[in-house]
Amino acid sequence: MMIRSLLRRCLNALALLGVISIIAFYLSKLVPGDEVLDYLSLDDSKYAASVDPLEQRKAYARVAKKRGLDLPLFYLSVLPSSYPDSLFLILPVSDRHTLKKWARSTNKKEAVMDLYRDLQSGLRHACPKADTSDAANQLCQTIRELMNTPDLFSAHHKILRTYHLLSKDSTAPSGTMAILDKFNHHIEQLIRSPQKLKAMEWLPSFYWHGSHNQYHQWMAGFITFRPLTSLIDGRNAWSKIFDALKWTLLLNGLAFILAIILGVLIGLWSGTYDGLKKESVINIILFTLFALPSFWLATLFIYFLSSGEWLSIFPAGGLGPYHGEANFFKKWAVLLTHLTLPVLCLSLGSLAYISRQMKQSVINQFHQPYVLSLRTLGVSEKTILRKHIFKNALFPVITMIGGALPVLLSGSLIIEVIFSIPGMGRLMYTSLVAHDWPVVFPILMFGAAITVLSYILTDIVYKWADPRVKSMET
Amino acid sequence: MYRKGIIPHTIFCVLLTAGLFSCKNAADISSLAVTIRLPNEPESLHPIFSKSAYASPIESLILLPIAEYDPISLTLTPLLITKMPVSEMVTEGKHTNGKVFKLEFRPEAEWADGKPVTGEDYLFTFKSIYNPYVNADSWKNFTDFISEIVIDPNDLKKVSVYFDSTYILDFEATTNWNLYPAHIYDPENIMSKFTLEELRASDKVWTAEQDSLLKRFATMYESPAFFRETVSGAGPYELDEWMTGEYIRLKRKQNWWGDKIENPPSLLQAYPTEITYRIILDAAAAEAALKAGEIDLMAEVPASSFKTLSADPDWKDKLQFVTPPLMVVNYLELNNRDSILADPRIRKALAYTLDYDGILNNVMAGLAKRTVGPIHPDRSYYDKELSPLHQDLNKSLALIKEAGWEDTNGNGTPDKIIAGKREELRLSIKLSNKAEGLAIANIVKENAAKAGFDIQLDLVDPGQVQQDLRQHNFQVMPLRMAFFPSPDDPFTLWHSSNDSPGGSNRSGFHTPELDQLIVNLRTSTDAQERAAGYKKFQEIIYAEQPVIFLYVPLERIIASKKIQLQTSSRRPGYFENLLKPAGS
Repeated sequence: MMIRSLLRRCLNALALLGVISIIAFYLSKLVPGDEVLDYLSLDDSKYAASVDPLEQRKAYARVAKKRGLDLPLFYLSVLPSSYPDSLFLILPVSDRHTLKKWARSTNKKEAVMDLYRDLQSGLRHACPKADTSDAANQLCQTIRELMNTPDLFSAHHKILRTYHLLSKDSTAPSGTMAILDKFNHHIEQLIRSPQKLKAMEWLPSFYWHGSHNQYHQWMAGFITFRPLTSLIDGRNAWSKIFDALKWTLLLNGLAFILAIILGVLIGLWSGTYDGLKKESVINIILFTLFALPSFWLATLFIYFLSSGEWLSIFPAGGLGPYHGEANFFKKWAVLLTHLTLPVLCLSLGSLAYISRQMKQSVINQFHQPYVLSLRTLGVSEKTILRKHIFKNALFPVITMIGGALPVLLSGSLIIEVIFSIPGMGRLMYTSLVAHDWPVVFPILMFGAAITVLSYILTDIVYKWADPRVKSMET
Repeated sequence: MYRKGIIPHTIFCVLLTAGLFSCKNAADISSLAVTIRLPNEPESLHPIFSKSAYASPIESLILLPIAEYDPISLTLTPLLITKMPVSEMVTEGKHTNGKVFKLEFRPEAEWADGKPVTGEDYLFTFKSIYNPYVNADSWKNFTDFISEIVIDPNDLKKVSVYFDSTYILDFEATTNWNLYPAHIYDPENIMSKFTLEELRASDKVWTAEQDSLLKRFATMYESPAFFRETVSGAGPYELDEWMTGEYIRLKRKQNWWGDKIENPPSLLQAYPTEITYRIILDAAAAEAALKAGEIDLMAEVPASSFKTLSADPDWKDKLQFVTPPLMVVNYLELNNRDSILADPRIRKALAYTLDYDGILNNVMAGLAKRTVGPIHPDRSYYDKELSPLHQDLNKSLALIKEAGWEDTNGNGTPDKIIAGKREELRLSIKLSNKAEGLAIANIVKENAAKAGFDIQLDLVDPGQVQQDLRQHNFQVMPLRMAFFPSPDDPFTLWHSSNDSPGGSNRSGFHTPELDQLIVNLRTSTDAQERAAGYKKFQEIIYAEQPVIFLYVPLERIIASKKIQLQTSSRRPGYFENLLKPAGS
């Protein structure tokens, strides 16, 4: 029975992960910006020279191909029948948008592709670096504008304007006017009476791409742990993730252990002394800590305990020179010193929550009939608390442990940034901002898989620990 | 009963243990080891591919440029070469009527492994850029002006660089870039199998074997191995350790060839024996680290923090505060293609609504100075006769009226019929969530409203900002322009040929007169003619206000008093190699 239940849960989990991966993939495609152009441009070019458009298109195609962006998105494409079949092969992406608009407004996909091919050929003719005449520049510029003009009437206007300008220019290279004539002819054909869709053409077109698609490349890479290359620095994405993961596990693990131990102990004490004045004081302190945002706590700690404004007894951040220590204990001493403040920041907030849960659970246990029976039998309060109440009151905490597993691995961005710890939170954030999908996707799927797994494990542990749950199921 | 006092006892023990372990050592400065804050980790230390502005200073300490602008004198100074080349006219051969620059590498100059720096490394660096599979297009367009490179067959240290046409940045194109050691970055000697001429031929068809070799080199060249592991050059420092997300450490080379040079220029001097760049993203944490003595120098200090700390007498004793002017300018990019902003009267009206001093004081805490145009105020050819605009709401209202805008529908915002459609005087400022840009935008919105402008802020993702900037899909955008000590070449930002989708003329402003002026500036060799050209250029931009120039920020640097700091207007405002112990 339990095995069947486990199997069912696993299958559901796999299906859920599949859905998450598809949503994540599509969301990444909706992110604004062009990742290839972002990669090819320089933030701080020393000499901002203008780029040769032909070279840029070649470079774009090269980088896009390397990243698999010339593949269709998914196994199956559903496109309006007015769209050209090979739309997903068109690069750069901005050209695709223009072609879609042209196709939608005219329903003449073959004519649209003819125009596009002629525009590309026109670019090769008009934009070579050798020819820097004004006429060539003007033609080159016009063609580039046309490729970014979704409105065909505006495009027509631009061609006529350029035609008018260059017809008076005797230095215009041979063939210039013929090229413009050709474009003009194409656009007039497109503008003139848009074609009405025939009956079957109202239906969308379905294209099956098999495994030759971007999503498949993503998932296959993730599932098989195939080397994925970071788009920012070319490193193996897995090694970046595991490098960050170890710090996150250490930081969050220590914080979690501290919060659990202290939370359970404080909760046990609070439940035992509920209603007393000192318990109320502890309550207030804990709720204050719970209410304080961790980033504010971090800033306060740094200001008062590190900077020297008041005290300077803790480092201000980083992980310290632990690399230089050969001795195992010294290495860990350096690390723990540097992790003290961030661990405190992370644990103090959850400490309040855990202790309150534990307290409530202890109070509930005190009201159980078995406690009265044990007292009647003469068992000491200390024994009742330690051997019976403590164990039974832990069940909500067990659930919390299961739910906390994903948090352990996801990192805490703000604490990592403030304390300069190169953990998963920081890695995820910097990779997201830089659109480094080979790093973002594995982290996301890893987190999702761990979350799902942790809930399954929690269920199993709960059933094993609490016989009442097991017997209810049977 | 539960034992009393166990919890406070436990907490005390934990804190005591932590306190005992956390005793910090006082900083040791006698070994000239300096720690500098790095606000962001560069993605690589490969000059051709690195994009981060923080990579460049580190790269230059390892891979020395052939010549570089001296941080103090701002003149192009020979580093790897014996002297700056002089342009000579070519009177015979295929480059007749062109120019030639003859370089000679220093006899002492050698790579980290002791091999000499030669013309072959120079040629290799060029060839690597022109490999069709290497993504270095921005570099290609800068070096395209060079027609040919010839190494002296009798002396590999001598190189002749030919230009068939005149280019304002010919010195820079010849010398102002980092040199790569061919034998380290091309261990298989692939690029020696190709000539520069065939690599630059756009119609060259490669054989299968050649294509495979070129791809192989490009893959290797653009790999993590050369991004962060093998980073080697002729500079005074070598990469000692790079702990991802933590720090980058450089160590001074023992027996570095530059130590043999008598009266070395600034950039051939290197005092610190060790430079550690600590990656600290958060400015407040970096400030704390500086105060605690964990780092020795921090730049890009937030203006308000800088003001507060510099006014605190306790910290004034321990830290030094410097504000060198930087070669950047903050401005509002206006899309002149927009139907509203196409009218120069509206652009000027907007310019006259701004409280520039208010922007300086609120955004930069006064740590900036006004500027009027696209030439940096520290340039010799900056037009001092052009006075900075000031807020003048009456002028603004008059210009709006003159441009035909009037509030006909009583909604408080002037309107006008443009191309048959009623348009409100409504503009959108597109920006990401960067603090400085946001602060500027909010002030602009508030100021402009006094003259009737209805300004909305359009906060978008940084990726969207870049895309919209490229596609010219914006009306107003707060931006920053960087300058270099080399002569200004307005071609990229102001010439009409760059006004296209994806083009670098973002404002879309150009006139035939300006185009001609820009072309003359690029090719003129006469200093007086150039000065007159720059003056005219500034006058045109000032009159038309195609963009609104705001201020030149002062860099805010705080450093420990244990080090002697020399500042520069070259970014980042200091030079690590020139840091010395105080009093030395």
